[in-house]
Amino acid sequence: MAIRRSSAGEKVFDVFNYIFMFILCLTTIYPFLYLFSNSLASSEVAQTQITIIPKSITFENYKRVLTNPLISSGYYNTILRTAIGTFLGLVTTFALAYPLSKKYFPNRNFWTGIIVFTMFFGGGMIPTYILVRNLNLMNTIWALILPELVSAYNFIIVRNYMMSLPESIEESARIDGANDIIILIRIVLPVCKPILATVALWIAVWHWNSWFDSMIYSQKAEKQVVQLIMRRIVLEGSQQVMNMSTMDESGLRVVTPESLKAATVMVTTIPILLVYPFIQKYFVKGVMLGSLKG
Amino acid sequence: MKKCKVFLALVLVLGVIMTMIAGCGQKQISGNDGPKTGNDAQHQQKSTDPDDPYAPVEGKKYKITWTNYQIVPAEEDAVVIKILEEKFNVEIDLWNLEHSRYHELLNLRLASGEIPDVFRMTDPNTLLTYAQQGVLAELPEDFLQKYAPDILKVINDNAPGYIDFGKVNGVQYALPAVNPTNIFRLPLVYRLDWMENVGVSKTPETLEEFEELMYKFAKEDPDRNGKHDTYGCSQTVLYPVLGAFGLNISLGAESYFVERDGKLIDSAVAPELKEALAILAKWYKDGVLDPEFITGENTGGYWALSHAFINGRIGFSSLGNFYHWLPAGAYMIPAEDGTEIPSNDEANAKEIKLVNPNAKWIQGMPLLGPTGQRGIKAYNRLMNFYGIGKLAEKEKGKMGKVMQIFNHVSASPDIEERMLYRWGIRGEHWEWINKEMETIKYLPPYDTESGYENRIGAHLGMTLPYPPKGPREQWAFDNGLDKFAIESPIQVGLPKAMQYNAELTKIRDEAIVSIITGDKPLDYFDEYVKIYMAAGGKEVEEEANEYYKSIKK
Repeated sequence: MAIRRSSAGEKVFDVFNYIFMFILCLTTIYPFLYLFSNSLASSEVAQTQITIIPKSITFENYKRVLTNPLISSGYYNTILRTAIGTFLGLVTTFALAYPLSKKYFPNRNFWTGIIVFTMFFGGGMIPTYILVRNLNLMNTIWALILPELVSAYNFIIVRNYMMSLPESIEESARIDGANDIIILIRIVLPVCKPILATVALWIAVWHWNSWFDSMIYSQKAEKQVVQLIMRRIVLEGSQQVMNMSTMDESGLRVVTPESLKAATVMVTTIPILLVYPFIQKYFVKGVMLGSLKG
Repeated sequence: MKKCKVFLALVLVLGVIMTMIAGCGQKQISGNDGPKTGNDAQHQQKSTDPDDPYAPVEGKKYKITWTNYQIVPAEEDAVVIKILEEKFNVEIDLWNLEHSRYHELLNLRLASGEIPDVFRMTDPNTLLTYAQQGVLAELPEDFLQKYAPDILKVINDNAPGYIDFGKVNGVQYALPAVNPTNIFRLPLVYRLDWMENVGVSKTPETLEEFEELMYKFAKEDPDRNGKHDTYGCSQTVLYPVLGAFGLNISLGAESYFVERDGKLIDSAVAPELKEALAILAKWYKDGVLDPEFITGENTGGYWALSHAFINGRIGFSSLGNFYHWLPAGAYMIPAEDGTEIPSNDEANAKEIKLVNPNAKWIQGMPLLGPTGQRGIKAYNRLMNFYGIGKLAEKEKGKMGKVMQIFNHVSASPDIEERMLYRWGIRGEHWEWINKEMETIKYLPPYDTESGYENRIGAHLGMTLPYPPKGPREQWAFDNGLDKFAIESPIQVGLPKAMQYNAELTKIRDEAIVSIITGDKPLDYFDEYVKIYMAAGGKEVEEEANEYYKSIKK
């Protein structure tokens, strides 16, 4: 690559670009920083006076959040569902995408068409709920994993990626005497690592963040995921008073302090934040992966 | 090879078609549904009292599904539920439907055929819909008198007429939960130290006095900091000013109907509103009304905090309830050993002290307006409804049992029993501070656990309007908070109202804000009334009057 000096115009553009990006980053970081500072603030600090470095630091909030029995069961459920859901989701998505990426698969367009159809049309919440209930999956981890096991969107991404792999590597393996399973495991899968990581990340983040399905399917408190519990704690006390049936029936004698809510948000967000940098490089590569090459 | 492929493809397609046929042909989904209540029908036995079809069968162990107010789900084998089950020899299945999404979750269950026996309707506007859908059992008067006598007594003694709210087309489908503390109106809170600085010693009693004070707060540097940085009031001033004309409107929510010469008119189009808006527009122009009134005084977090007041930007607020403003020691809580414990700082009080420990504030009375009206909004006392699910009606003996238990849990004449089902076991979860005043304290570790009563399976019954006896309520009585309260004459959602309200509220709020800020001239009000009535306001008013006539007879 030839190195050339950038013109004055380009330099100016760069400066503005940096400033703009910096401000953009600030607006993203600011709420997070506010919550972080609030989570470390003790109860003597007024809610209207949170500063970046809190006036008095305490870990009391974190202690209370982490010793809450529902948080630990919530975490257990979330991690379990993320691990199993991601693994099974990956396996099934790949198993689905591989055959459909082969041009010689009979009626390939028909099958792909059916799957894409589900991306646009779905039964809706009530039929799905009835289905899950009749399969006796209520209050189990499978109700959280099975309904959304394979996403049509992920399937398309993976299929397209596989279609972009040159046929020659498979052919050469076949000449060497490998059967289809060996080709899949030994040849195709290692080459698919980027897409594997990308889709795994997407599925994992989806599982980590989802709370609504837990709300309708896990009726027992010990089966609920941590996001649902966090949502409940954070929403408490901030629901706007409307015209009818306004008075809080519980009399709200104990209001969860804002700092405790902030600590809850931190505790549920930081783990995924820590995992992300390690997978980020695949994610960046993966953005381009939907496209077909050659 | 090719033939093999074609054959395979055909087989696969055939397989898919067959499964689709099989799936479609499947007989209905929730056939054996209402498993808990359906089976009972088969074991129908003669009830003990042939004249009373609702009498529960002796010795039969009914299975009852129950919905309640819940912010935390009940744990497995919750203690209070176990106690109740043993006492009445029943099996209780408490549905964990989170309060914030209550109706969504309930509707899911209803759609799959499950109807709860104790049927809570968090949003009172849903009564009509559920009654029409046929998921509620009818509650005849003699049935209620025999099986829910205590509930009826409390409601009729303390909130006469409220029982009629539970009727749809003359048929009783539900019992209303009536809030005991909403007899107290909204507070009027003034910065006392500011008042002293501008030389006003009494809280305003009339609208003129109030206006004078607001101007002083805005113009005379009441916080004595040399800067012109204060306003008189913000969004919540709408309540006392409109109340001085006998009206009530909350931005973003429905306006109350008010009675004029036996008819109901909507506050949103009452002629007095024009006068009130003229006053507010003047205050806005003169810099007395905070320009930020549009977004409100609360900037997030707990809803009752008035950040504008806490930060010393305004000198008056009507946000929240009277008790949110009580400083520590406002009233004394008598302990059992005869000593008295001072009360704690409540929400706003706590925050103000953290920001400005020298601030003082005081509550005043509603304002007398130029038309002779005096008042301020009080929240609706009707909170929600409890009915009995239709499935229980299949076996009337079960209905009797359900109502009996519900009556006991919500309205047992023995206060200790009521407290058991509301807060848990005495001595383990809570203890009396003063039984006369019905004040309790929560025992550790439950005193810091928000929602513990849900977790242990308590808070099972409905809120009833027992006359408030506690020291906090005593403070309210002593300070005139039950006086001059403007209540809405219609506390249920009527069909046309529900249909048009979103649109009407938008029209109304836009008009109010634009007139106050001077965007539109005052005379725009007449045009706005026409628009409002044409957009459905007329139908809503007619419907309200019909309903009002039908329940007032």
